[in-house]
Order: sequence, then structure tokens, then C-alpha cells
Amino acid sequence: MTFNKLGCLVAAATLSMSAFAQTKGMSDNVIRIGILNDRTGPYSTLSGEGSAVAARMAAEEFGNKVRGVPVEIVVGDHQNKTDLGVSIARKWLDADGVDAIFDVAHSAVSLAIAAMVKDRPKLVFHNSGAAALTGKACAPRSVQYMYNLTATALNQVVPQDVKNELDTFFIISVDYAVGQDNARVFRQAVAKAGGKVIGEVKHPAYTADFSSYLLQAQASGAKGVFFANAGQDLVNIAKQAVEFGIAPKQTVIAQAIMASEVEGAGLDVLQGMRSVSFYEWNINDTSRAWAKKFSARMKGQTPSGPHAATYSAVRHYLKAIEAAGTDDADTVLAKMREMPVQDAFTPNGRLREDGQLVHDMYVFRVKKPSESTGKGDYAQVLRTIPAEQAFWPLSESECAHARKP
Amino acid sequence: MTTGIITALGTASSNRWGRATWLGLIALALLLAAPFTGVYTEFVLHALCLALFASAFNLLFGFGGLLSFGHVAFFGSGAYTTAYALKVWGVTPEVGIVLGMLAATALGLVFGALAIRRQGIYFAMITLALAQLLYFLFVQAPFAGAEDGIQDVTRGRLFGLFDLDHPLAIYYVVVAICLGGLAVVQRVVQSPFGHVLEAIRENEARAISLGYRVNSYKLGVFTLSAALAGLAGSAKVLVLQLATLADVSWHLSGEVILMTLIGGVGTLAGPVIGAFVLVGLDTSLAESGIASGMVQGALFIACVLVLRRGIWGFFADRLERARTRH
Repeated sequence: MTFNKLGCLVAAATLSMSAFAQTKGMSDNVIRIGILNDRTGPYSTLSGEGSAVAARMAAEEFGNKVRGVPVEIVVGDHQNKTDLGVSIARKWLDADGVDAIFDVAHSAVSLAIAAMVKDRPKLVFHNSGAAALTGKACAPRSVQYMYNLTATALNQVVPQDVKNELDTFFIISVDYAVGQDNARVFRQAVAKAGGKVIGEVKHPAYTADFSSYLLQAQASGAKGVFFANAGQDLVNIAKQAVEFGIAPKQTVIAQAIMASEVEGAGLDVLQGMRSVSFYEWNINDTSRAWAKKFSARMKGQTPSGPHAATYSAVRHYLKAIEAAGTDDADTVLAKMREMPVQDAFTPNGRLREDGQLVHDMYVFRVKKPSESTGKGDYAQVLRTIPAEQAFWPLSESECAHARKP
Repeated sequence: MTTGIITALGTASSNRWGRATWLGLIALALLLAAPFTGVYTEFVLHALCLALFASAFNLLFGFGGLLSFGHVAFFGSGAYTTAYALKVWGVTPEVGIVLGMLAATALGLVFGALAIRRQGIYFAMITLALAQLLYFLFVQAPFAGAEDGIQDVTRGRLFGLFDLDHPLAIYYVVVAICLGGLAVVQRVVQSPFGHVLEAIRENEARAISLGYRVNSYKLGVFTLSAALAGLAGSAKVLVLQLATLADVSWHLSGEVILMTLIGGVGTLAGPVIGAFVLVGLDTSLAESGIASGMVQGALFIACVLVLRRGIWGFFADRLERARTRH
């Protein structure tokens, strides 16, 4: 008898809950946001707690409430361990009622979460660069917010460079998938701009001595040398390029330069090096004002790309919830596509069908020590690439659902 | 050390209904009831897979006395093979697991044959070098997907019948796989083969003089350990649905050694406890803001200084003493 009563109660509760969910209101009366990144390892300065602070700053702009529903932010440390990141993400989505995951900033974890949201009504906003995220492995509820590695490589050389007699290039690339992809896209960019690649050499990951590669680049007489590598490899090769006298004579172009790398190696070493970036904290008044606020909360740290992108993504997400009046993943995402992104991260962003946020990118060179006004002031923007040109056109996308008419 | 290990084993084997056995039964009951207690089961499964991996490592290190620093090669080759077979060939999970285990076994036979020619630190270095070779193979090989790994692996239907996407199905299947693996480790340790291994560990020259073909025994246990590590890797793919470079990176080789040492080297329960402690720390501290690496480091130092024989080794000693006093 009691069991029957209990059964009825449970059944009634389940029914009412499913009815509630169908009204597309706010699920479980809280908007729960998960910031998943490396909080204690090598990338903790680049993303880490800074991204959580950035997300909180975005939520505070809404008074930590959207349409009366509180916004809650949880953080997770994946320690750059894929399995751990995947476990945390799955627990968040399945058991902890997290509505959307932000930052991630680790390609393998990002790809795994993109696969998870295929059959879960949840959203994920990656600050990871893997081209597959908006290519072969694209998923309807997964957004590549900050950048795309191939888009970066695509913008390294433009026709203007060739007109300015920067027309021959030598590529030094790290010998694994990302390096090879970047080298391949760089070749396409050079061909499109009307320049010529006159040589390429591959080096294994974690090389300490780059002399033989650099000497080949020097002997080639190319006007530009492209380093398709990252992290410690980039810092090492950049230092050695200066020692071999390559840097001032030949234009050095790097796949990516992070502020931490500039601080690690010094402006005197990296000065004049060129690259493409997706975020500059002093591009306009909005971005400068936000960077100042962020610095005040992060003991003077200048915001990095992932910090600003996390802020922007959370802000845009909450704005879309406010406009749509629901936190239903698909409705919110549709709203996010409708509304342009205009904030401290980018003055000109738009969320595309394939899950790519297209926004302005910047060609910059590292400042001379005499030009820098202090910590965080390292980049001089040479050229802004408008959002529509900066990314692969949608018509050439490898993403199946985006190509559909 | 030796007597300690034997007594630790003794509590589990000779005295059939000793306290250790009761503790084991309670742990088993908890494990089987876990999905109904509100525990997040995927954490248990992840920890179990690493527990099996640590036990496989412990079979070689704790009982065979061979410190392999490249055991991740077998875990990883099992994981990649299963992931590839499930995703690309679309085989059923049991076939995927068997293929993963076969790959790890074959690799174990080759690596083992090379490594057992040397002893001590040279043995460890050879296994590390071979594992690094494999790591770079997976970095380069097109089928392995480089730093993205093999993602979004379908779990499929076991024997074409049970849909493993059901949380209870995957839970009990992986629990069964891991417990089966652990049972094999226990059986091997208590078999005559296991006793010969201990003899070789304690005094190799004497074992040779007694007429044992030491190298065959070493190769046997190396291959067996590799096969079980491969099984653990395959099971992990079923749980997390991906295989990445983290599964073949030397960090995991280090972690598995840490698990074994913290739990208690040369005991059956030790590696399992160590795996649950370390995975538990990683998962529970992930949302706390405390660096889990620091806590693990402190725990390791504490174990070295205070619990010389690991967490389980310490308790097994206590249990043994309590038993002999009566």
C-alpha cells in the first residue's frame, strides 16, 4: 500500500518535471556555467583562474541573474590530462546540471566534449584551435569561439606583403600533425598572395638545437622565415634565430606568440617577430577599459586571448538567454547566431553555422624594448583582417551540417 | 620486506576468512551496489581501469621484481587498437577488447624479449626507450590522429545484444572485465609460477642454480603483465570513448608507479587502493582550486616517510599482527 503511494508520488513528480522541461523555461532554476581548463599546470596563466574571473565579470554585468534566475559558475581543473578533462565534463553535463562549458583550451578534450553534446542538450564554447572542431568533427552545439589554427596560418601572408617585397619564404615546421597542417595552409596563403615558398625543413618536437635548420633557412636567402611550431620549441628557435643573425635581416613569422612567451624570452629577443593574433587588449576603448578592470582583479595580469574570449562567450550566452527567455540549448544557440558580438574581445564578431565565431584578426609585430610602455605592451598591430576574410569561407567547410543549403 | 609481503599475502590466502577477505567482500559489495547509491559511476569505472593497469604493473614489479618504466606502451596500444577497431572497423566491443589485448600481448612479447636481457636500471631505461618509440609512432601515424587522438568511439552492443550506452550495462561490463583481470593477477601470484617469480626476484642466481629457466619466467610474466595492461587500456576506451596521446605518454607510466607505491607494492589490494586514491584526488580536487599534483606529491612523501609499505601494506601489517596476537 505504502509502496503504491510512493510509486504514484514518484510517477507524478517525474511527469510534472518532464512537463516543466517541455515549456522551455529555465532548467532546474539556475544557469550553471562550467569553466574547464588547466588551473595548475603550464597553461594556468594563459587560461586557468583568469578565465573563471573573466566569466564572473561577465555574469556580474547581468547582476548574476538572468530573468530572475541565478547564474552559478563552477570551475574544473583538467591538468591537461585528456581522460580527467573528459570525466569532469561528462560528470558536469550528466550529473551536476551544468548548462554550458567554456574555455577548455585543450584540443583533445574539446573534441571529446564536442562529441558529447551531439546527443545532450548542452552547449560548449571552445578556446581550442583544432581545425577539426569546425571541420570534420563539427557538432551543432559546439562553438569554436576564440580562433582556429588554420585561419591563423591563412592570414600570415597577404598580397600587401608581396608588394612590399616580402615575397620568398622558408618554412621550419615541427614534425607532427599541427605543424604540418599549419605549414600546408601557410603554403596556400603564400600562393594566394603571389609569393613563393623556396624551401621547407621539418624538426622533431622538443628540439633543443635548431642550428642546422636555421642555417638552411639563412642559406636559402628567403626574405621571410615561417616557424610552424609552438611553446618551448618556438622560444628556443626564436632565441637561436637572433644568435645566428637571422632575425633582423630576414622577417621572422611565427605561428603564434603568446604574452607569456614574450615575457619568458624578452622583448630584446623576440622584437620584430611577426604573427597573427585573434585578440589585442588595447585595440579600442572598450577593450582597454575591460583589460583594466580585469588587471585590477588579477593582480596586474594583462588579459590573454582565452580570458577575453571566455568573458565574451559567457556574456554573449547570457545575453542570448535573456533575449530568448529560456536556457534551452538549441534556442539559445540560434539566438546567439542572430545577435552580433561586439565587446572587449572583438568589435566585430558573428557566430557562423559551422560553429565558428568569425571575428577580426590582427597582423602584429613584437615591439622593440624602447617602444613598449611596460608589462603587457608587446604587440604593434600592423593590419586588421576583417572578420569575413579572416576565416575559411563556409562554402569550403568540411563541416557536414553547415554545408547543407 | 619479503616476510611482509608473504604475510600480507597470507592474510588473503591461507586464512580464508581473515579480516582482509571480509574487507575484500565488503569492497566488492560496495562496488556492485555503487550505481544505486548516487555515486557518479564513471569515476568508479575510470579508477577501476587504472586499478587494473596498476595491478598489471604490480604483477611485474611487486611480484616479479622487474621495474618497467614504459608500461604505458601496453596500456596505450590496447587503447588505440580497441578505439580504432570500434570506430573504423565497427567491430563489436568484445572483439575490440580481444584485439586490443592481442596487440598489447604481441608488443609485450617483443619489448619483453629485448628488455629482460638487462637488469635493474638498464631494464627500466630500455622499457622507457621502447615506450617512447611507440609514443612518437602514435604522434606520427595517420591512423592515430596525432594530438587529437581517436575520438568519439562508439561503445556498440556487447555480443550484439547489450547496448553499452546504457549506464548500468557499461558499468557492470567494465566492472566484470576489471574484476576478471584482477582475479587473473591473484591466481598468477598464488600459482607455482608466481612462487617461482618471487624466488627469482629474491635471488636470481639461486633460482638458476635450482634449475629454473629464469628468462622464460621473466618473459612470461612480462607478457602477461602487458596483456593485462592492454586489457585495462581497452576497458578505458569503452568508458571514456577515446584514446589519445595521454594514454602512451610517459607521465602515465610514472603515475602507475605512484599508484602502486602509494597503495602498497607487492600486495594484491595495494595498486587498487592507490588507483582509487589518486584518481579520487584528481577528480575531487578538480573543482576545489587546490592543486591536485601538490597533494599527490605530499601524499607520496608521507608514504615514503611514514607508511613505508604503502596504505594497504600498513593496514595488512596491522591486521596480521592483530591475528597473530590471538
